[in-house]
Amino acid sequence: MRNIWLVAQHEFLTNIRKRSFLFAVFGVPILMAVIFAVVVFVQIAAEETGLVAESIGYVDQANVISADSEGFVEFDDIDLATAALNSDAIDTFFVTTPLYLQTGEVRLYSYGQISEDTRDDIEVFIVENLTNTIETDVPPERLIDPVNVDIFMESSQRELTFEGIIGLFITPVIFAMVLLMALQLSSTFLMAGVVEEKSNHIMEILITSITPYQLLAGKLLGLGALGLIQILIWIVVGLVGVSLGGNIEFFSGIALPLDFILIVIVYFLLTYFLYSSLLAGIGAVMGSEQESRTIAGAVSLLIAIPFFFFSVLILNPESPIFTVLMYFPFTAGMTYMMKFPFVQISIWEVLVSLSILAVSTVIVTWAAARVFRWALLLYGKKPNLFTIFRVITGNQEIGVRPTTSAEMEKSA
Amino acid sequence: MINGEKAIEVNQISKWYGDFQAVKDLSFEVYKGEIFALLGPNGAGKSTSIRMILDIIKPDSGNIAVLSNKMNDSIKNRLGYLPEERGLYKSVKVIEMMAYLGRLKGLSNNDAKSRAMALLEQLDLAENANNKVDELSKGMQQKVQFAVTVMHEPELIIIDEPFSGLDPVNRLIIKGLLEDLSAKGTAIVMSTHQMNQVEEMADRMLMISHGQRKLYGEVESIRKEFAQHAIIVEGQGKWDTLPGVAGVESMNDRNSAMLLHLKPESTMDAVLAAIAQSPDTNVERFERAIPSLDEIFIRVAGEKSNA
Repeated sequence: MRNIWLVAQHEFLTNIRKRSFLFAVFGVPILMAVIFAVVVFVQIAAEETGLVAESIGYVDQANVISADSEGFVEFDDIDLATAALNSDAIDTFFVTTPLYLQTGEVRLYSYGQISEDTRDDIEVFIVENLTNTIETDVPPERLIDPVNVDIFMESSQRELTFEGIIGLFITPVIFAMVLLMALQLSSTFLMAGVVEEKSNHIMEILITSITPYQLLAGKLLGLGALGLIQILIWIVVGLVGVSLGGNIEFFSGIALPLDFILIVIVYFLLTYFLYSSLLAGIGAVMGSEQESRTIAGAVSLLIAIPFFFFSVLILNPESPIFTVLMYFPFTAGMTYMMKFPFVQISIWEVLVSLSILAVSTVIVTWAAARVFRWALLLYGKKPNLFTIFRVITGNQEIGVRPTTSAEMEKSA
Repeated sequence: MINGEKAIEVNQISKWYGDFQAVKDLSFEVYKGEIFALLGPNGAGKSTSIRMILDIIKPDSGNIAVLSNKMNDSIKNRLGYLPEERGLYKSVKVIEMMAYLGRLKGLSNNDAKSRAMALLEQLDLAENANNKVDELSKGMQQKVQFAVTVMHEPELIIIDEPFSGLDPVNRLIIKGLLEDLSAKGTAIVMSTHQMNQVEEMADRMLMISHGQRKLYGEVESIRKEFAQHAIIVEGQGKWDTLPGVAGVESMNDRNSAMLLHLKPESTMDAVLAAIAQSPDTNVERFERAIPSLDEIFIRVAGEKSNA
């Protein structure tokens, strides 16, 4: 136990000081916040800038405008309107095209961008004129914006606006991405560590001090703790962000119930052990960081599969794809998080999914540990999949013929 | 100080890699306080034997006792191993890395740090303690590796090529440290191709070839065993006409040193007496022709496997 603890402590302390870790933990959220702020700023700026037209001309080719309104000037054809625009008599003009009633097509002519407010004015003007042709008491505002959704969430007993709902849907997805990044970072550190220790031969000193299993267990625990710290920091940063932006409607829907967070942490830990032990085995077998990363990249795509089906999820949350992904060990965690806001996930579904994941994790960790132990002193020639299978099933001799210096030079 | 206590006891071990037998029925013992040389050509089975002793791999048959026990975690803490391919954590401070590796050998954090510091001072590296490993020169790294191997005061040290990459000054420092440790009762096994070091340092040796024991015993007696019935002389004179001399062979290009092969019934004393009486010989050097380990190595390693 002491040895496992020593390795865990060493892995945790050396990796937490790495620049790549500090960048991932603090740099990435800062970068995302900056990007988010820029996007919001650009959007707001776009809404607020643009020409606020004092006088608006129009050419009514569709023949739908009957009543004049203050600030609107009718022209007989586009040439006249263009002349007026060029002489600054009007700030902009629009044309209802002949097929307007079928297509709704309206063309707006101007120099430069037209403000949101001016476009709203034009819309109201046209709707007012349209309602003149039918008998109705409905005010034009309601025709333009008939539904103002105010959603009452039965589960959380909270009322949400439409923007809030988007926040509610998006948050678990963001959460899933955060976990995916933490998972990637810790596992990659683990694999890189194994590759380093193997390629600089310090591995031979390590395994004459402790057993390979103690080494692997220590690494898994130390870097798992590192991953949890990373998530914790991001959650705190996220909460601070949310509380700062408390009156922004987008964030009002953010609600991560405690049971959701607890289940997510169990998913994270199991997926982490599954993925990391697999990567440790790959690192031990491949022995070079470049080759290991290629294979690790392919495996990490497995975990990210649910993201590829995000549009399916929005259109049809009950899609069987997501049922399958929920039971597939590598995608179970991400799928749970992404499905959470869209459908009611039964406790049974969660338990079955977690059980499959737990059993797979135990099997994969056990098999990876065997491969890890076997491959630690393997240099030069790479074993094929059949050999690895034999190692796992115990039919392959543990121990490899030591490479002589001459053979090593040849393989280098 | 050889004290008769066994540090390693290898009994009839064999190891196969598929169809290839790397080690065949190998037996030998290493005692506490001795410097023991493990010799053999590349691919002879040295590394495999060392790995079996260290319990990295298991022998197919035979058994091994290290410090009078089967290998276990507490035995691991009592031995030090420096593999041929050396490596260290590159981006970690020297003192931190040493503390970590020392703790894995059962030392407390404080002990590990203080012993690491003491060794670094001995090796003239004290001011580099807070440097990162990759800021050190290759020779410095070699010394740090050596310090890591001995910092927990192991009772048995196994070193592959102890002096590779070291300059003469550092070689002397390491040699001195190894001899001190041996004098304190530590068993030292060194696997090397540098025969002059074996001649200088080792008490006993094992030479294996094709996985089999070829030579085993005290270095001096093995050399004497290989001595021919011959004398090396230097000087001037007609050697071939001396009584008792069967033939003369030149030992170098300048014909200054000659190897005199003796007739079976002749003795060194008789030849020396004949030289003394002969008016046309003048001797500057006269000694029994004992081959160097290099010569013995080449002769033994050149033999075909008798498997």
